[in-house]
Amino acid sequence: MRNILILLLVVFPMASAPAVWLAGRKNRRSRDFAVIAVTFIELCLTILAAVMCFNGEYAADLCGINLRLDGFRCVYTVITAFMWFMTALLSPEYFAHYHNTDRYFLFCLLTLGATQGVFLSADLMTAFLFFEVMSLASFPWVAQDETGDALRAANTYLAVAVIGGLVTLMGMFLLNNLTGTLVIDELYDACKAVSNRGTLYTAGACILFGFGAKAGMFPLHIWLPKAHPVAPAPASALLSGVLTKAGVFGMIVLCCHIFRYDEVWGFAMLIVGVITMVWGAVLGVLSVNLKRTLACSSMSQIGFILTGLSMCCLLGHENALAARGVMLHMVNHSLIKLVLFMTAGAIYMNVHTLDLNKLRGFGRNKPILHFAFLMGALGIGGIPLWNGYISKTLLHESIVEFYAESGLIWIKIAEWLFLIAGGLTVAYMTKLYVCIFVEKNTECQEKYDGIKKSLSPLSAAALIGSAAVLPLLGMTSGITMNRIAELGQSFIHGGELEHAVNYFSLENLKGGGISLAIGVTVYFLVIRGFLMKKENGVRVYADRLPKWLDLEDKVYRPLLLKILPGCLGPLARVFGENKVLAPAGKFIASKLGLIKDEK
Amino acid sequence: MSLIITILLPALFGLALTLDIFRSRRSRDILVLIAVFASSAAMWMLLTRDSGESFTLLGTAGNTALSLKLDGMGKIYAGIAAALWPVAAVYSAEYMRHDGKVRWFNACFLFAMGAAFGIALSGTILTMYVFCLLLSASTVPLVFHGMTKQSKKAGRTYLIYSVIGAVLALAAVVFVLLRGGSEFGMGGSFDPGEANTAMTMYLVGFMGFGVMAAVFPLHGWMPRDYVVATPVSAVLHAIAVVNAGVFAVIRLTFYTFEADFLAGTWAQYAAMGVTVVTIVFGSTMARREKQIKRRLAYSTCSNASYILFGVTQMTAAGLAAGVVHMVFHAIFKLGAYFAAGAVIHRLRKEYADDMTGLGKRMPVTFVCFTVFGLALTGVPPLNGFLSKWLLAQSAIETGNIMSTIGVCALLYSAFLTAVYMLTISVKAFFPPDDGEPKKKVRSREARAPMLVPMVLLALLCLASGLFGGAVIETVSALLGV
Repeated sequence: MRNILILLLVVFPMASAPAVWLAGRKNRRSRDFAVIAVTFIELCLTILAAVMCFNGEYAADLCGINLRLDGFRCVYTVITAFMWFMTALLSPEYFAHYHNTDRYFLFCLLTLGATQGVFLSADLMTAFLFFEVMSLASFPWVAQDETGDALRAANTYLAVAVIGGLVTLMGMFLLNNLTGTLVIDELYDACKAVSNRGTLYTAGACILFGFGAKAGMFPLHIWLPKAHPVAPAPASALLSGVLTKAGVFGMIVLCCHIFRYDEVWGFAMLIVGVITMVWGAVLGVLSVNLKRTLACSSMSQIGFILTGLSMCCLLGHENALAARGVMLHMVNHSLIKLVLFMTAGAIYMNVHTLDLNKLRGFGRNKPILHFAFLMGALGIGGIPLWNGYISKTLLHESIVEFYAESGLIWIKIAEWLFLIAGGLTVAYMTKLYVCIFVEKNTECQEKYDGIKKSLSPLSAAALIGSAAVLPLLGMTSGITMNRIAELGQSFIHGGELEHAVNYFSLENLKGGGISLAIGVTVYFLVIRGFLMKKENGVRVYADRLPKWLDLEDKVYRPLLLKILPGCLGPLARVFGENKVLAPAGKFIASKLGLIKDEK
Repeated sequence: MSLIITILLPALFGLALTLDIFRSRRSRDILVLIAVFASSAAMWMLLTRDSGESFTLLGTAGNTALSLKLDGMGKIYAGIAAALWPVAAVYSAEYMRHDGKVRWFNACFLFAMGAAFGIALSGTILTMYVFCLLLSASTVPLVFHGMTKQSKKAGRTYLIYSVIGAVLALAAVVFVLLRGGSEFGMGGSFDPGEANTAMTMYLVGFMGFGVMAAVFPLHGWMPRDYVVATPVSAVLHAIAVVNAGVFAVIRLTFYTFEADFLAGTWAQYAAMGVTVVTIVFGSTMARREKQIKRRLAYSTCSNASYILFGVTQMTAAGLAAGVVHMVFHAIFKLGAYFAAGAVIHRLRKEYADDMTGLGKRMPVTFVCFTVFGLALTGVPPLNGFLSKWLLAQSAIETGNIMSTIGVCALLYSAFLTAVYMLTISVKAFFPPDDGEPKKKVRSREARAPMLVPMVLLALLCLASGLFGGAVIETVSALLGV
């Protein structure tokens, strides 16, 4: 019974996808209803599985597919199903004027099944299998609009997924060869016994490549700021909220199983994590596109999680704070991005633009949108009493703890960069908030004010429902969030908490306060100063991101499309078309008198 | 006795076909289908028997007798041919519907089937060599068939390469016979004598039989024959000739020479080097190539070398991995040719760039094409992933440097495979928005006899991927490793 249930979590959405597609061929309304029903049933199933899981962990095994359910996996399957359900509620209105929506929902449900598969997998092979299916099935999301930009972004997404998959596969070959197992729970002991550390690090780096690319880790984040703005909003919410976490899932396996308590790996991850965190936030501040800002924000938050994961490695057995921070920040980021992207979607379906200068002032006098966005912004900005504050505090505390233990100046710098990235988060969220809800649009404010009914009841319910969760979690942190954090520990392997954390102690409030102060300063000095310009007498947001900073156009595309084929292609052509061998053969043959000269 | 009957059955049907009594095209089509299904059924009945049965065709003095034998490896090749040939025949009947002069075409199609069965059931290297010649002889007319300037040129090229291959292979066969080579047996069938001479002759034989498997630099015939009818390319590349070449190399490596004798020698490095170069070369060229059938031909070129890469690892695991890839490759490459052929047949579009937006006109075909593309790339849970995993795994286990280079080549090639297969799917399903309002397009899906084989193969890709464990076990059991 239990085993059937756990398989059902994966199989049910995948099996119902073609049915939903067929329903859509007949009638739009019945399809919308079917999607909502399927995602709702999936949510119920995950909750049922989670409840049953309290009696102990359980596993399922079918033709090499190895699934397992424990605390962490319970939380993430429930969150995945919850997010799919909420976006399904928004979808009927959002997609009302879209083409090819049947295709979208077909792949949407396929991806749901695959994503559940990734989170449930008990060995890396299974994880990889579902990860690939997930990557490929989500490709049509990005390409949904079929505009030039969308297709280009989709191709980048596909290329990153394919290359990432291959490199991960290479890493898995190496790992399997070194340890003889890919079962996640056995990896720690197996890897500890490996004497050939160099090869093990190579294997780890290869595996990190694929999962990191999906999570948006620097320097593989290139697809993220491009894919999110062009994908439909419900899809962006899922890409950012859940699919990146599938990447993080792989990183947890790396940091908390393969390289548990490994300092070298921890420092490497710290560097990557801090760069991702800061660079994502900087890109967010510079962006003038609503969804691009949110996408860069996702990248930055993943950086926070990575920093936390590196602390899990570095702190050894005393990594309780870091491990809880990682778990909570994953959950928080998923829920917050759900709200923010759905709000962005609600705005987009009314004004059909994401340009901050054009949608300026749209949110005035729209209480539902206002409420939802504000909750999201306060959550992600790390304001006390909202959920983001809790996880950021834990992560910050873990860095402080490691600094106290090691006394390394680099860690102090990392701590300050952490606070600065937090500040930048406040700054770009303020930028969005002020732009949408405070400032007036000089051109069409009356038109915007005229749109009274901007949301259908279903969409409004989805927005309010998912937004209300954020402060609720933040204010009941002692009960709810501690419980969630505790659930994750069997998988993340955090140490025992020595004493309960007082989130609202002066010390902890100080960290939040510093970030807030940095944020306000950056907002007024940089954003309102440097990042705005006067145009026809109106102050508008300026795109000051230098074009040469685009890694994709400047490095990856030339490398893959020009340099590699440029080297191998001509070689292959010379020998392959027998431009050299055939004439040489003919020449010899004619000299020997075997064939007559064709002239 | 039943061995020789199974081989002769398709050939006899082919002879019957050339008689003047079957005048209407309908009767001929039906006869071909009956012939293929009957021969295939006969072969399957044979395959259910225990291995070890043998039959002497022509008893001569010494070790030059021609004899047949049923063993595990032969069963695998015969099984592939017997399972996929009927599928190809159904497809071919529909594809060639408007072709006026198919009598000899169909006869040769059947002769080739007999020859392929003969290769599978050969008991000695000389017998296998003779059947390889027969296979070439019966497929050359298939390439010439169109009798246009291009197909004549392609036919000539194919003939020349076949002759080169035959000469090289003959040298190896003669060497083996002079040294007293007898019936095939796992672990070698003769005393190789002086090592360097033997290894040189092994390489000569490898290249000779390798012509059929299109190893670099003797691959030239393969991309040329894009002008021939699609079912022919499909049968040549996915079932008969390429697999025959691979099969012959396996027989040469494991059943004539001894794998342990070759392992770790320069001969192994040379042979493996050739396969690695072919893998890289084939996929690089496939990406450059725009004509879809030439692209698939280059893809076959690299995939045949995947199999040979497994074989030249000279280990039991490598052999099993290679053979599993041989089985899976036959399935998805046949399917990919069918899908490409359907597009060429219905819409006359044969260049990758012309495929833009065709996904809406031939949805089923392109969904199938995408499945085959993903399988070819090696995306789980499709079957291609499994065999590539096995290949790389066994390569890393051997631990020699060439194997490691080979694994990198596999990954490089997998990436390019994704590029050259998936770009077509992406173009077909996601055409760039040219600003014009979307028109409702008329579906131009191929008819059932072409569509059903395709869909069946696509499902088979998925099924054999999901239940790959069973396939691997069967193959290992048959190989006895």
